[in-house]
Amino acid sequence: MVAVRRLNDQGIHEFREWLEGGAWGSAPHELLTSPLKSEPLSAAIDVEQRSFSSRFDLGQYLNEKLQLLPFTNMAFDTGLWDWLTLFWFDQIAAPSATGKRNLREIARYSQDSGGRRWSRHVVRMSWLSVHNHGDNARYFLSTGLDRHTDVLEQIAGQQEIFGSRAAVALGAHLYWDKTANVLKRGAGGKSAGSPRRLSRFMKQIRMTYDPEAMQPEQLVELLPREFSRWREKQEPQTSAAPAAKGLLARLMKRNGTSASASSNQ
Amino acid sequence: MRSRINSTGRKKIQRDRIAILPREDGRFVCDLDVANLGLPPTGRIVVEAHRQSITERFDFGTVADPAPLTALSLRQLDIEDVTFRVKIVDPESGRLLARADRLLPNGHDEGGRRELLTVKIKDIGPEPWKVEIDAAGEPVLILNDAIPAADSRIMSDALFQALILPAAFRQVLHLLWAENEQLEQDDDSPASRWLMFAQALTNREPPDWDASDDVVEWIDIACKAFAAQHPFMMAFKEAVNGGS
Repeated sequence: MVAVRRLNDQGIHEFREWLEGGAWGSAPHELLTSPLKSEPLSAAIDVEQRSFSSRFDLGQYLNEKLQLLPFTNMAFDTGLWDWLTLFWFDQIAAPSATGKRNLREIARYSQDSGGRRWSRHVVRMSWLSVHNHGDNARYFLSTGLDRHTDVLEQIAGQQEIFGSRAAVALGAHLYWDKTANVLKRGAGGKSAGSPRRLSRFMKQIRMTYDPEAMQPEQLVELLPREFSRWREKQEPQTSAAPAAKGLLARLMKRNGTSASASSNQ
Repeated sequence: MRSRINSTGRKKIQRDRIAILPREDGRFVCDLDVANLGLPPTGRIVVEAHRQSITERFDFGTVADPAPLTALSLRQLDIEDVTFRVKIVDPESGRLLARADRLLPNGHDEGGRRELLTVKIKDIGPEPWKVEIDAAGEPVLILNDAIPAADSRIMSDALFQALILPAAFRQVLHLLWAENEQLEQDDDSPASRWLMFAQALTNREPPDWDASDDVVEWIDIACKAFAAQHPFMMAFKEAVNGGS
């Protein structure tokens, strides 16, 4: 077990420099413990080098581990998220035998706190998704730490969806096969009724409705016809509409939320 | 920006009807005037504080009796970094009856006149500059902090401006086009304000936002008009001639 710290400005700068240089060779793990490049947290938290089966697995692990930290201090703490990324970097962007890593955009590894790519950070978004949406985050986090899928981009990357518990729960109902515990076949595509279309739909209805103030069945009823095949797949032996209402309501209830749920209501 | 017509019947709550005052203990006070807006008395008022994907909601009673039903205390967000919105919602259908967006706590505002393009100085690695749309939808010009006196140069150095601003202007319009599907005439969003600015420059109505060729052409005209208003070419030529 290792005590979690946060990279300070110098540590973040050096980590980014290494990333921008192509992240060749060994990750600069010395930053993790250097008193000049990192500093301790306000609470003692230990993490371990272990293998994560998915981003959801990582999110669950961190949600449990980081409970002692105040949310406000943690959610936007670039130094913390970059420290954790560096700690598991060989799993997030594994090196090949030649030492070359299949590196993606820097925002996936170093928090871009001011811009619109806040949703790309692998570690932070895995934690935040589980923290905010619980089990309903499974369908867009059911991917490896080294991958960024279109489902993830459309759900976690769109404020209109990710910021709404009702909308994320709706997506879970539509795209997650609870029986097989996998993403429904075809949900990763871009065709009618896909997460990409749901994202667009949510952008549109937020001009007219307040999804958080709506009952789950009201939101389902607003869905255009193109989404009907996803609703029907869930309970093929019952009529689509009542099944959709019940399932969605249960999904939200299980997560301790309601369509109008919020931390302050 | 497919449609710029507000066909929803939703009303806009003017900024001068809302005052949000931060307090030192992390709480805030919100003073709302929703009288005489033609709203049903049963309309539920919600005040939201948000940053990126994190939103905290506060039930603020009804149009007939506007008052906070819970303590106005932020648990997940820092008052220094949040933007607020106020919604009035039909309690039966969830339909929005009125809305005000992008509200800053009082004292954080720019005093009426608002910048179209915010400039920030940051470590952006090997790039001298770049344009981004931030989480609140505001275009931001980011200058590399390794450039000496970048913040004052962008305000006063004509060559510096000539090398950056025309391209940044074009990028902002393209980014806003890519990121905004819909805008409304009464929308006070950064995208809407840029649209109006570009419209004034071109003297032409913006095209249908789905007609890519027309949009690219319209943006090009706006960029030319913007450049024509500033001595970018003169500064550039002087610098080139001076250096030869």
